[in-house]
Amino acid sequence: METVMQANEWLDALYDSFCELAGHQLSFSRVNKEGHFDYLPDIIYGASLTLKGRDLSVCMCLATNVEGCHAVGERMLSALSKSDAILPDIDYADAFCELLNIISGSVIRKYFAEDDSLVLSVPVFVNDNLQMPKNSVINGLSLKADGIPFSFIIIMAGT
Amino acid sequence: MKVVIADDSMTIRSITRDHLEKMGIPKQNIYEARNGKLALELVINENPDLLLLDMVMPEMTGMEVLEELHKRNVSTVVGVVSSFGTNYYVEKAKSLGAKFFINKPLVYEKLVEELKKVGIL
Repeated sequence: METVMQANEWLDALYDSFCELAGHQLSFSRVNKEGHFDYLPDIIYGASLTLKGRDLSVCMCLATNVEGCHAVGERMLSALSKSDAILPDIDYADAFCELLNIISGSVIRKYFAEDDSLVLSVPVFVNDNLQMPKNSVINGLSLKADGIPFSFIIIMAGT
Repeated sequence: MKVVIADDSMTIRSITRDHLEKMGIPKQNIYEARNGKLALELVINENPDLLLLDMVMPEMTGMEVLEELHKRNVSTVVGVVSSFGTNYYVEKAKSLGAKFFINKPLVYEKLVEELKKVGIL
């Protein structure tokens, strides 16, 4: 499998992986693409992680709003016996980070299965603006799951 | 049976604990570690039958934990539960003694299947 992926290919792969999970683990009935963008939103509310290897260095974000973060947390933990408990914000953030971890892992296994140089960071939850080097190339994809807004953002080093 | 769950995500630890309790493992026999270093300490101190190990964790990665357990010739059965299951990582983990590698999301039936295969259930 080719290891050089363009930003839009990353976004499509992340979207496909999100859709797979949305139908099973997350029980969203409808996911649809809203559109692409090429800027960094002023505030990111969501999860971020980086993947580095011989041939790539990419930062991936999955952004949403408070409602989206809570929806993901509740759905991911819905199988638990204590699932009706109200979770503290930190637990919702943890679940949201884990969602990005699972989605990115699925993409990595599909496109970089043989790459022995990859190092994936621990995902972090962001509720702030992200500072990126000036030459960064930013590409994003907005989507909605049962009406709740999400967006994937890919940040790569520019030439 | 004693089990250690090593994962930096509370969500995954909770889901895994729930799966294990559903299999009949008493809750007091299930230990949790939020990073690799704590996981290693728990395995050495508690000598569990099973360690369910994430790969990407702070302090020590899952692979570093596996290397250390391999060096110490620890008898605990190790199963990796990670989203980062590239062929390279799966093979390396198995070469260091991991008995199985499950890709996240962790599904109950898959965990039962793997535990039966290695004779834990």
